[in-house]
Amino acid sequence: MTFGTNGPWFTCLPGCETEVPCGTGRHTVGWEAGSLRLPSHPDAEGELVLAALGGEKARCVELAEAWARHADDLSVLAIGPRGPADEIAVGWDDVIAAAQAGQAAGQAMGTGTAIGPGPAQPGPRLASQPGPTMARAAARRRQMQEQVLAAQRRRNDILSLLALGYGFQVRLIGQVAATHAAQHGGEQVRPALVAAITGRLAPVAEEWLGIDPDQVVVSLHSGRSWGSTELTGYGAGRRLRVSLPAGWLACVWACGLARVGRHLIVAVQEPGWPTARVLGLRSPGAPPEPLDVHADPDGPGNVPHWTI
Amino acid sequence: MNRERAETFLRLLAEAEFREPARPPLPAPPGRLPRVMMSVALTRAAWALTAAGALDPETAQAVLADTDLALAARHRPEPPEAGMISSAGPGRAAGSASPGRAGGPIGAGRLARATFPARTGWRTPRADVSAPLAPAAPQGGPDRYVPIGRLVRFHDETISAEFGLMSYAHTASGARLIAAWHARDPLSSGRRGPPPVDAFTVTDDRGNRYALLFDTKGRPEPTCDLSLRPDPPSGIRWLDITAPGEQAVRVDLDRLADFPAPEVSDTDFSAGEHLLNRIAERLLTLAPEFPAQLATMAPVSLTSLTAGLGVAIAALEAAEVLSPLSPVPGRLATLCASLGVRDHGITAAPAPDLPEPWLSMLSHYHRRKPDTAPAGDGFAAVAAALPELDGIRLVLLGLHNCDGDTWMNALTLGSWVDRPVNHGPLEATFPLSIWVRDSTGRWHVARSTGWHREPGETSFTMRLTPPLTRSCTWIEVRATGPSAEVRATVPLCWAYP
Repeated sequence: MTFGTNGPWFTCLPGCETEVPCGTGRHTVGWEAGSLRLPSHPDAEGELVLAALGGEKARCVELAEAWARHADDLSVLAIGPRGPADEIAVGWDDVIAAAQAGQAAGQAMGTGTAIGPGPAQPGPRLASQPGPTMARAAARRRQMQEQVLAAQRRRNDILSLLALGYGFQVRLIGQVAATHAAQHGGEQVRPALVAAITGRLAPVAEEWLGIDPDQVVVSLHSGRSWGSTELTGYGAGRRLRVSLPAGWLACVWACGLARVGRHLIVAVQEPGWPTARVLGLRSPGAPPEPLDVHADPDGPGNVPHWTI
Repeated sequence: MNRERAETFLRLLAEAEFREPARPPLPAPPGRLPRVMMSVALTRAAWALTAAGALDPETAQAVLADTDLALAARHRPEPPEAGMISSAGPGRAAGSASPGRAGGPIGAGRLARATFPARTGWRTPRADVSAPLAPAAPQGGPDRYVPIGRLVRFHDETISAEFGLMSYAHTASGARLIAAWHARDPLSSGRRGPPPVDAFTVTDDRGNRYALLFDTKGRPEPTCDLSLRPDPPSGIRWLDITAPGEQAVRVDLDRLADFPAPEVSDTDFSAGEHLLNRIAERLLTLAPEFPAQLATMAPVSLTSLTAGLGVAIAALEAAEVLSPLSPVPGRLATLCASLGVRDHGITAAPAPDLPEPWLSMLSHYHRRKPDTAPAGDGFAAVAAALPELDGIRLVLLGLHNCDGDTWMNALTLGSWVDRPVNHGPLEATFPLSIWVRDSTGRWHVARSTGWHREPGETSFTMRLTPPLTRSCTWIEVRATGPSAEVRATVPLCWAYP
């Protein structure tokens, strides 16, 4: 028996949609089978060319670019929601306010723009100052400007992606986790993945066993099996030790399958929507049971709810 | 050292932030959004891990920035300088709005600050800690250090001044005299700015003439460099310095520093222990600022330094830069108890075996007379270049007493000098612990107070706590780095204005 999924990580996820302010109106942005869709912008590439020639870039198109830029960004795991109860309250007003603040900061730095490095501002040159010193100072200033503006752009990106809402947030988390799971991330990414799984498994474990979330200890599983669970100690020393692969975040958690009924779901055997076969644990240390689970196809697509 | 575990520890600590019950936002002025806070424990752990070298500052900064944005996105209060790792250490969080939390300035908007670090990829490259160290001194440089001990006076109708010449140093950055200076108005006895040293004449034994340039180089006011321009040739034997209307003062540059060869020995401190020892030193230097509490054994409010210490220790253990069996956390707990410091969070049992220097300072404080005999103003000629320690060469260039404080002037050469300054002030990045034992056996801890970076070297001044007395005839300087320790015994011959 293998425990890997037989299809893409998002096979258990239905499509979802939201509306975003774009230009003078509101446009639909959708997600379907792992990709962001812009039905109101059928020629997004053409719009990008026009934007490069000085035209204004539509917010929908900016969103699609941001989605692509952050599809492997582990910060998405650190910032995004830990579960349906973890409400992120970022709206489009916040995004616009942050962009305006960034633009003001950019103008204060002499660039006049919030999203581009802008020209260097060398300032007046004094006859008494040696050329190399001035050149170094100008280079340092330019570098600082670029860093600040890149940071601002990154922040605006993240806020825009958060403003899409919970359904998109978990799908982006799934995308990031799947990307790194496929790359078998090494030492460089393991800490972020361990923290990301811990942050999302701990509240699920609390519902599953009533254990204190601080007593959940996660390690990253890298073998072909689904992983392992073990409950040790008692009282303050009680620990739920769980070893799961990074793909669990994508195939299980992002698809709303982390807990179904009284089972902790550890892997997906036969992915699908609205029916799938998963492996669930009734208790720590118990062997995983194959479970056929069903989602309500008429339920809210953003947050699938599964039952056995 | 386990960098992966260090980062994992910090990230899991950040995760715990989200599980804490939401706190009500702090009051904010009208029109402003509420302040957001991040726990002191998280920032302290990040600082400890970077200070011990277990985590590069960029990674720690990225973790804090992500946490900052994540908290802000959930309507939590906002931290100060979020995402910015200050190597200044725990003490930099002074002024916290509430115990145990790091308060921050009120921003224009909860999501508007541009503190999110820019990264081309997710991760910035780590510092190469195994990179070879640069030479401790400029290759082929004219390094020369000479103790002097001469007084140069200057008087006119508006100013009466003295320069106590402590030492002469000639490095790749140039030649200078390190001096303690004092100037006053002869009519009012009020203090004055520096005398016009550009009117002084300076000649050497070869007939070359030099101009003097006055520069404090970031040091406390009574200390300065008198730089020689142009740079003199190496090997000059003396300088004659003549102030207008005064006799020439001859400065003998052939004088050899007369002190035993310094002793170098290995230390067995881990990076975590070294860091905790430096925190202890910081506590011991801050304690005199609370004389009333020390006298009555009342609790001392050093929360800004000690809050989150327990978590910092756990972080160091997780990063395997501090053994769970180390006695240092227990010693730190004892020290906190002795100083009446509470809420440090150290879980290790207090250890009775405090290091001798700590005991010396504690007994000094608890004798309740730390300030009963302030040292009189004066200076001692010192020039001692110590062997290289962990890539740093420390050169002692004079001691002086002023207004009841003792200052030790120094120069450092080595690779650490050229580290980026945006990683914090020198006090936090300087990796040596420096103690002084005086001729009566009492210990004094040195803390840097002002510095000036130049390519390849840094001039700085350290304040000794408690101050030296003028009866002190020699000192043993003990500089400890992460891997070795050097001890140098230096005779003192005091001169007085």
